[in-house]
Amino acid sequence: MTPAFDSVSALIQMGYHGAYVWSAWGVSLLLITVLMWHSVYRRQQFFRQEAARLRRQAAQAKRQE
Amino acid sequence: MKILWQREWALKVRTPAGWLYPVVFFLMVLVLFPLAAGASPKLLAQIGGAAVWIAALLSVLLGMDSLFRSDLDDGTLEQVVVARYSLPLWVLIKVAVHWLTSGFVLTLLSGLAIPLFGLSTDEASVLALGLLLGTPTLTLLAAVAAALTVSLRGSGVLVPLIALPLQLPVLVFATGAVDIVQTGGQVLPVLALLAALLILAVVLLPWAIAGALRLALAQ
Amino acid sequence: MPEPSQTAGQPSIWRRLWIWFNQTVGPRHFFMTFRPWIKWLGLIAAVLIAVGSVWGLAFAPPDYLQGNSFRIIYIHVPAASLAMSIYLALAVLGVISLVWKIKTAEWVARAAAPVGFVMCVLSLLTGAIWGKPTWGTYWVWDGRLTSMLILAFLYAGIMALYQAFENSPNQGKAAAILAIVGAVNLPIIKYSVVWWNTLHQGATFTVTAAPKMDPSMLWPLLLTFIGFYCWAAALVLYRTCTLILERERQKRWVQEWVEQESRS
Repeated sequence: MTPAFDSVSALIQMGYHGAYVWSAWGVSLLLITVLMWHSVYRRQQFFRQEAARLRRQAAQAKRQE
Repeated sequence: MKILWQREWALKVRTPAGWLYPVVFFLMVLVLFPLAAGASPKLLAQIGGAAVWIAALLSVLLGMDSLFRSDLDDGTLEQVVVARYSLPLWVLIKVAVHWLTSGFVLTLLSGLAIPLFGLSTDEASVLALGLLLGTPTLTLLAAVAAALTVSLRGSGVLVPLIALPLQLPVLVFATGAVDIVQTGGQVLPVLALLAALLILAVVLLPWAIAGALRLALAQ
Repeated sequence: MPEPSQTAGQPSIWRRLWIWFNQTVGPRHFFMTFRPWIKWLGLIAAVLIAVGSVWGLAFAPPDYLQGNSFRIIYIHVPAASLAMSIYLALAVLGVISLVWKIKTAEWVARAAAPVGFVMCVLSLLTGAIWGKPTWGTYWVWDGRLTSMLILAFLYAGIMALYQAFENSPNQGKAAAILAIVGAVNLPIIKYSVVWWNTLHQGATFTVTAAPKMDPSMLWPLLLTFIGFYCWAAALVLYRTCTLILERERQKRWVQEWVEQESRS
């Protein structure tokens, strides 16, 4: 299979279509990254909350001893 | 069933808010169109059908928000469920009464499009027929949104947000019918489509509405 | 009717399948069963998308009519397809959760809704960007684009409902009802929009005609298509697992799992 473009700059330019193709892919990458980041953020938020709760419980147990 | 009908009717006509405000709102929105788009007769004749429909759509949505809320609050909803009365039937009666005092009135008022927008009698009659067939469907769809949000306080814009995408086909077909009449085509198939949508809505939606109301009760 | 494969005391394949299904939909079993899938689906997705996009962006020959702008298709088509599939999935999950009262089905739907919405918005954006060099304008009120826009609004309604019911046990059920009503409405909406479009069509161009693609362009599309579906599945499973953890946080298995994770 031969590459469709002669050089990297040709790949970026894409015969004056480059701006469209790359902006479309850029927007896609952006939105997908945000979505994935948000998912991970929620998971980490859960862990933070639970870890804090465990610490509080441990501290309470200690005090009661 | 007759008692329910009478009860809903009595409740509706007791306060002007029940039947007057949506009508006034409808007229106000109608007036907005020439004010916003300019009063050139040609333009108004073109957008007349669309303007009437958008005004009708918005005033149907306006009156919907609190349709079930008072019944939820004062315990009527629980009574209906406890008495094992058919909830979908109760919903249908309630929506029917509401429609008679709003959508149906708007259908009658749509004749105003003749003087206000310069529609021909042909166009106006197709418009009225479309409203007759379409506003009950719009009302039922808005009722779904109202039932889903009935337990929420201040759900304001949520009802239109949920209901509007669902109501779009009715809008498209009904205004399309007016357009067809303007260009002199066959309008009966489109009206038949509207009738089909109405039948579909009447048969299916009361169950969805009842389900949503039961959900609100369970909270 | 006698089961042909049934010997005394040996359950049939269907019975076994049913038992497996009933076990797996329980939150804990779902979590344990599907957690490994996330990594594998993610890996497959990454490979397929990487290979497909590089192939499509750099190696597929330029289109006869559209030049190089058609390369947007490798993200646009998977996104549009995912947007539709996920909405239908929301409706199916809604039916499952309402009829069989399965909580995990509600949670999978809750996890999938934002993914579908973002894919819908993405397909609109990429479609608009694609439109400019192809048809000269960013937006055209044709049947497919308008339907996708309405789908975005349907998603917005579902997300708004999820938001409004955030702290209520009825959250999943209310959204399920809306998803079902919306999904039944969807073919009607699409039909009405296509009809509307033919009515008002200035007959300038058939915007919806996809370019005739030869196989060298089609293969990368297949790769990115499957790749994105795997990615979406992985992401939805990941989000569902987070939801399971959040909703079941009082249970002991969650507590133990949290302790185990925080130690590693």
